[in-house]
Amino acid sequence: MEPGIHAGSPSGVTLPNTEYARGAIPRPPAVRAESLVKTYSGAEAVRGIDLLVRPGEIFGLLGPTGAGKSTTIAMLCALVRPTSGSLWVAGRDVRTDPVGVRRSIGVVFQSTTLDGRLTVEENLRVHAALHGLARRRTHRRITSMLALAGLTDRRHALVSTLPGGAKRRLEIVRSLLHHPEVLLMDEPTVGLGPHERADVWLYLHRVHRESGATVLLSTQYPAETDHCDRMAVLDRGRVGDVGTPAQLRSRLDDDPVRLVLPPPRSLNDVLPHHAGHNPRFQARSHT
Amino acid sequence: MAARLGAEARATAAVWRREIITLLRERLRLVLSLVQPMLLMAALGIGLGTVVSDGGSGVGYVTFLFPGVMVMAVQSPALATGASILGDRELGFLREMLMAPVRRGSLLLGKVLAGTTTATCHGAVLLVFAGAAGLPYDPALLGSLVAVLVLASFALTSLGALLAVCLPSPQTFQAVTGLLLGPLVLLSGVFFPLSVLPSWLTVLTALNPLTHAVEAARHTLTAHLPAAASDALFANLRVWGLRPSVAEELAALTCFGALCLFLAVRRFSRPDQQEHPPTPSPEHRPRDRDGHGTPTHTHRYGRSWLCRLHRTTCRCGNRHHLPRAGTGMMSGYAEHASGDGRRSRTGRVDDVEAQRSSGGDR
Repeated sequence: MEPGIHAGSPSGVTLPNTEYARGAIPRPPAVRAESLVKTYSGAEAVRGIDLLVRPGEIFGLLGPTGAGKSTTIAMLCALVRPTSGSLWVAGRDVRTDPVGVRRSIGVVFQSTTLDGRLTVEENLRVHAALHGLARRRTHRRITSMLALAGLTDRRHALVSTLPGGAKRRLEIVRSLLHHPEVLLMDEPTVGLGPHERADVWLYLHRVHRESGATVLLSTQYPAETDHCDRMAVLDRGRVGDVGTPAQLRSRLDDDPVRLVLPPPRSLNDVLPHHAGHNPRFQARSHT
Repeated sequence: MAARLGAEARATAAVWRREIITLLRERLRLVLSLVQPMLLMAALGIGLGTVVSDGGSGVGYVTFLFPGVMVMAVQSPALATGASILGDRELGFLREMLMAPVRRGSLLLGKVLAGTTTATCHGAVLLVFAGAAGLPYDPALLGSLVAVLVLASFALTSLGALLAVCLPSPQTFQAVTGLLLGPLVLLSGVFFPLSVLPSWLTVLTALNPLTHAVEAARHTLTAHLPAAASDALFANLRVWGLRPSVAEELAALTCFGALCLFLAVRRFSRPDQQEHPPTPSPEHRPRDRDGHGTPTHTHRYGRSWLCRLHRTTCRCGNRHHLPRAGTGMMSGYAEHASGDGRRSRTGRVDDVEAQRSSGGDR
């Protein structure tokens, strides 16, 4: 991703660090994790993750519930301390410089963190003040971000009256309000309908294009990784595989898929169209 | 350094402003909060006032009661700040605040200042009815009463914040404040002069922040009343022969508030403090050899002193509560069936052994 392109984008969205924007010094990796471990009172949520996320890319973490996605994101935003291993976000160590890390990231959590009793604009204003955005620039910034999210006409609406998709969009633009270098999203489309989901992705791509921020997101849906430049598959707290979605898919094509079925049902009941035709499926009955 | 302080101050102000916007949006709450103090004033002031003699000074029981009722009006919105901190955690907004690149203490300070403001407003609206309680509408008196209310609100809000950061849920918070409020109010001298209490009880009252708030408010008032200074009703609180002045009472309130706030900030700033660990998935629970639900381990229950519930953190990361009645106070056991991904079953350890020997696993 060319840093220079974003510097003067029409919506007034600029990169936070002008040094990086001018290309004077190379941007550090957005995220670098080395044998990252997090243990909660004996249970290992994350057991040795190595990750390298390049600046400017959309990176997906794919895995089922409990694979360690949320814990990884909580560590990335310096909310949870790693038990061992090292972790840098935007070139800053989460252990020694949590405040610096928080300054350079925007976060969209899995469950909403908006205040429903405040209006859309008030929510954004509180965020701007919490992140030390200059007061005279706040108004203009809010206007441009609301336009980006397509929420200009809901500016003075109470957040509790917004539909789910609009809330998500609002959270995404709010997390970008303070020009973060890295945008972290924990299952951004969870709980949304198919329409709203497509909508959120549309805005996400737009936001990514305009801000030039690195996006790291987690998802449970393999189909959603098509939106990512690169992805990692998490399995029981470890990284299974890393690559572009196409690479991972082609690798998967070579693997046989093993189905373990309960005894009463035969493979023909479950996969009438595949059994006997596709060599990828090997039937094996439960013993 | 100045920029850093500026950022902290802006974050504090942002947290404060959010609360004030909500307060202004829910003005009905402010109006409703007037009902209880007014009821107290009417029922006790007029009812009890006819029994309590005013000693010929012309200053009646209603006047005596008024400062106390004002402090009482402050106390519930002040403690509600604690509930609001826990509410933010349930709502998720706490995470939004914690993501700000500032110290956690600044955020908590914003909360406490907002609570102080809200509570002071709740107390100060009562001053509209000061005339009915026989108080002169003297700007100096009203001003100093508001000043007392500010400090009382600060002390109680900080107490609420301290409780909130130490307690796990809004329900526990409600239970604890419910327990605290009775003794705090009754031993604060709202309804009767503390000079009538035996000396050992006076020591307890001296430790009560509400006492100092009520005493300070009352003595601010007596200074502005013509003849009541010598009235037995208005006699000063005496602890071991010492009569604290209004300034000393206010200093005590400030110190109490500052101490609570300090402890709350320290506790709140601990990393991972405000984060519930996510529930470990079946994959993370220890697996047994065959992976088909054979119990992997048993665990004896510990006992939490605070909740008086039997619970413990097992090595699988789950918290267990007492499984069923009749297992005795300290004799609960949990055993874990992992592998098949179901939640753990609980039972006595002998049950587990019985299951094992009878080939209870599938």
